[in-house]
Amino acid sequence: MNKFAHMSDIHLGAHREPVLQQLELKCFNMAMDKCVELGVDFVLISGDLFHVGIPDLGIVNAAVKRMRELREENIPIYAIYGSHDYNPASTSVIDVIETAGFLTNISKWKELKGKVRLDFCRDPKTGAKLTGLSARKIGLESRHYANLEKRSLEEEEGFKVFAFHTGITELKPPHLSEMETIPISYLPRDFDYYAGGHIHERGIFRLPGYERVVFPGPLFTGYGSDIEVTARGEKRGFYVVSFEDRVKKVEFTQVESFNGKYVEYDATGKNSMQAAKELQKEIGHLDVRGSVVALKVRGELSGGKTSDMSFSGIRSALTERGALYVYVNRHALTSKEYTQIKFAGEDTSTIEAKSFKERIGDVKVAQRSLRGERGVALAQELLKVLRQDARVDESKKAYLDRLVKDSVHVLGLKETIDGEE
Amino acid sequence: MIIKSLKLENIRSYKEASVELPLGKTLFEGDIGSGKSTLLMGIEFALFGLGSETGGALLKAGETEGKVGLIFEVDGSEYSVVRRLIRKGAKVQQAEGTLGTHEGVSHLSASELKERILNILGFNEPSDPKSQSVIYRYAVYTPQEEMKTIIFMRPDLRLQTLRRAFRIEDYKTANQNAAELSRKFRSRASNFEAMATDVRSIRERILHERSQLELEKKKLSALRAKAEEKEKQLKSLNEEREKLRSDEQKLLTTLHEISLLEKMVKSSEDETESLSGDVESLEKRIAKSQSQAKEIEVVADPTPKTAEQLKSEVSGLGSHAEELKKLQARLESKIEDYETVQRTGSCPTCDREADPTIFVQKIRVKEIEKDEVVAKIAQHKIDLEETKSVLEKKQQYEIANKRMKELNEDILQYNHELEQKTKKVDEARIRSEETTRKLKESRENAELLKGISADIKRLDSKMKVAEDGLRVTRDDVAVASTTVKEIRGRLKERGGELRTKLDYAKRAEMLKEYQIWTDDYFIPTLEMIERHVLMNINQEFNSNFQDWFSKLVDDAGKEARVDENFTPILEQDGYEQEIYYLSGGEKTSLALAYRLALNNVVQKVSTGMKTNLVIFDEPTDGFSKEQLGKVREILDELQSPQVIVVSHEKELESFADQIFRIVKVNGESSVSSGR
Repeated sequence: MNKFAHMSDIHLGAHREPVLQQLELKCFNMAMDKCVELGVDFVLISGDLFHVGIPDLGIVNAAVKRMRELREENIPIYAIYGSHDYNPASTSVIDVIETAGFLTNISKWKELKGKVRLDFCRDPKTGAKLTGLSARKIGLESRHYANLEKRSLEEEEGFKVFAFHTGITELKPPHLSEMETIPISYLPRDFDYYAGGHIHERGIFRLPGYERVVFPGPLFTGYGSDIEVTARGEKRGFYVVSFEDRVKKVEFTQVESFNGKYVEYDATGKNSMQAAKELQKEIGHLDVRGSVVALKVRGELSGGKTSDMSFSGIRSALTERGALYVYVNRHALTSKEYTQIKFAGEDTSTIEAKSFKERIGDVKVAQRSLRGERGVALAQELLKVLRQDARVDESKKAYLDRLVKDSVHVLGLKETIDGEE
Repeated sequence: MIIKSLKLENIRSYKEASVELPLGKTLFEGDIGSGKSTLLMGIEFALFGLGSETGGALLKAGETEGKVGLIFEVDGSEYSVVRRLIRKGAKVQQAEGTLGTHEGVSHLSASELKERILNILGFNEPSDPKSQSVIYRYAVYTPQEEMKTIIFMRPDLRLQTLRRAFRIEDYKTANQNAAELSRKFRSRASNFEAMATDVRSIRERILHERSQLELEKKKLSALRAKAEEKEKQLKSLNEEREKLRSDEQKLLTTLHEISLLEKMVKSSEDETESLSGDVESLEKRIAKSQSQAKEIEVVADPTPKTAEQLKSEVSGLGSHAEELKKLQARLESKIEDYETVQRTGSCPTCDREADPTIFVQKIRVKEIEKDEVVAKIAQHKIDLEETKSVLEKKQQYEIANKRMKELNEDILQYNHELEQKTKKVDEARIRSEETTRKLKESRENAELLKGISADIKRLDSKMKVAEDGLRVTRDDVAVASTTVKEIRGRLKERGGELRTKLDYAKRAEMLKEYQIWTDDYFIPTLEMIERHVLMNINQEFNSNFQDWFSKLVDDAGKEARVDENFTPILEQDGYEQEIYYLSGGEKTSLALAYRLALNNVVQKVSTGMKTNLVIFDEPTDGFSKEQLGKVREILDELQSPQVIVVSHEKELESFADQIFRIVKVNGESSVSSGR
């Protein structure tokens, strides 16, 4: 029985944090180890082996080293290029790796008379015929697929795998409704296996004419949201497809590179201090040793700033307690005090005038000059005096004396305040 | 502000360089380390001085003097500034610089220059020569190495820096100063309160003094009434006494009169007697004169002619006789002359010969004339004797007549005197009778006033008693009045004291109100303003920052924002990415977006600021080609009339209006125009 491993969205080099870089690499290595262990005939990567076109060369070096080892084990790696690791306008690392012979790009296409023509790449060991389309930039992709010459692909005999790196409209999860996708009909029909990538959600789908549309999801995590899902218990890994002339079995193989811990906290109705305290309590009892923690804090604080809840403090506290890495999501955390902007778009002096005016009614004093419009005008004048900085070479005492004197003058208190001490 | 030209001399790697800067986008392009940033440092140095930089870092190694000259334009006016650096031993110092305006060139110290330039640019910030212009650093030019510094700064330090740039720190300053002012109010108010104690006891004392005053005033008024009564009594006694005194005076006058009258009676009697004597004597004289007149009456008048007429006749006769005598003599002389001629036959006068016969006749005529004259002379002698006798008789008559006249006048005079005397005698008699009557009267009066002295004595003793009584009462009044005065004085003093204390209390009260106003209104409002202004700026900054970032990073999953403390947060699907671990391009994008947002906001909050020049120092470090293309859009969007970009990125050339190439050969930089 022939076997191949289908993985995608590895996003090597997505992380610059050393811990995550290590985990990322560890995950890749574990996957490669599993492939050897399971005795797959080849590996198919449906795009985004790397997170960027030119990633950190240390990562590239480590990855290539592992890929060479795989080649030495006679397990070739086939791939299409993803949206992250490839740019048709410039040379990416993945091009270099292909040139070096550690990877085969199966997306060999030509554009002829407005039609996109694809060729098959035949795995010599298993005879599997592989083809697919690398990712294009948004907008270009659907045109590319629309122009795909499908008939020749559909008429090809043998065990056929089509790799793609795009979302399928019919399979699009609701939370990705904004994502650009293509209808399944853009793909050639009746392939044995549709090896998908790009969608970071694992799933095997069956559509009429499209027996097996498979998305393995990210191997590790490209994004924080992936970490969150992992931390919530989602298994990460790749599919091992057993086949002869047809697919016999599609089996998920987990690659567990780390323990995940997910904490969600709703701060609504609490002020920043209360929320910080409660959150501390919440995470206090967690055993985070060796874990990647995804912390999601949301809600509207009743007072204080969101930045009062020192997330860097929380992060280092958890790290000190053994967490490998702490991901923080406070995107949905707001503060009532800071969201209700009273004087939006006003200039500073208008804000000053309006604020003084707004609060003048609250002050309970008998002095008429301190109330009403006179009080407001006085406050504005006083602010002009008191906001002054000390002059160059002015002593603190001289500065304060000057300001007190000027303030007393502005407030018309000279006669009142002067007199024997 | 538009920069028009920059000139460097011995600055860092430049020996000498001069650049004319046009409007639009200018690119200074050159390899890393070629001296591009030095041009920007030069501009900043020319404008604001060394700041925290050292002179040694700017002055070209091995040179003793360097300078930077900058010509710029603000609101249509051109300014030229020159700053100089001088090496003195191991130190490099700023020397005096110059500022040229349309009014002329001024030589100014480094700090004076900075102050003037801040003023020209409308940068409202302290002119401390030891610090950079924060506004310039954030609104105009941020050095390359500082672009990212602000992103990686400790949040509290960054917030502090930004608060300064946004002038939010003003409120903290104002808040602290207001607290100081409030302390001052409190301390003065408690001073005044301390000075205003005892008001109650002073008030009680005043009330007490007031009731005392009322009592004393009543007492005084009773005493005054008594004194008045006594004065009245004394006055009436005095009047009585005055009357007696006047009667006494009258008595004395009467007695004196009596003595006078007695004398007058005597004198009248004497006068009558004397006058009677005179009358008698006058009668005698009249009789004597009348008898003498009778004797003279017999002398008669010899002629009606007056004595004078007679005297004139005598004189006329005398002189006529003399003239006749002279005529007689002349005739005799003539006759004698004629007789000589007759005898000699010649004129004795002219010696001419004369006929003597003619002279005989002549002598005869003359002899007749002589005889007539002699007869006339004899007649005159008789007439004269006669007239002289009449004159003598006339003179005797005139003397008698004169005497008669005198006597008659005497008689008339005596009679007149007699009449007068007689009248006087009558008058003297009448007077004597009158005087006698008066005397009688006076004596009667004197009799009436006989007992007056005794009356006066009695009254005097009565008055003394009254006066003594009045004096005592007056003393009592004086004492009471003094008491009243003293109480009034005390009341005035207490009143003054109370007023002062009340004034202190009022002042304390007022200052307390100002303190309350400051503490409960001003300071909390400042805090509110600070929060609102900061929130506003934060919101504006955030929208700017997000906007610029999304333009630079074309990744819908990536979102950049700042939190309330302006800490940049880069999120991917809501999860934060630690910015330390971003890629170079991302970091630059974040920093550039931050810088652009800062630029916008600082420009906006620095009201009155007169520059919209923007300078970028290597803004594209780590950018992809695609991102480099976006820089163009961003520069266009800035809508700044002058944008200066320093970059080693040749890609940027395509959208610069003007390119300067910087090259460094043998350690020396030079600038050349590339387009």
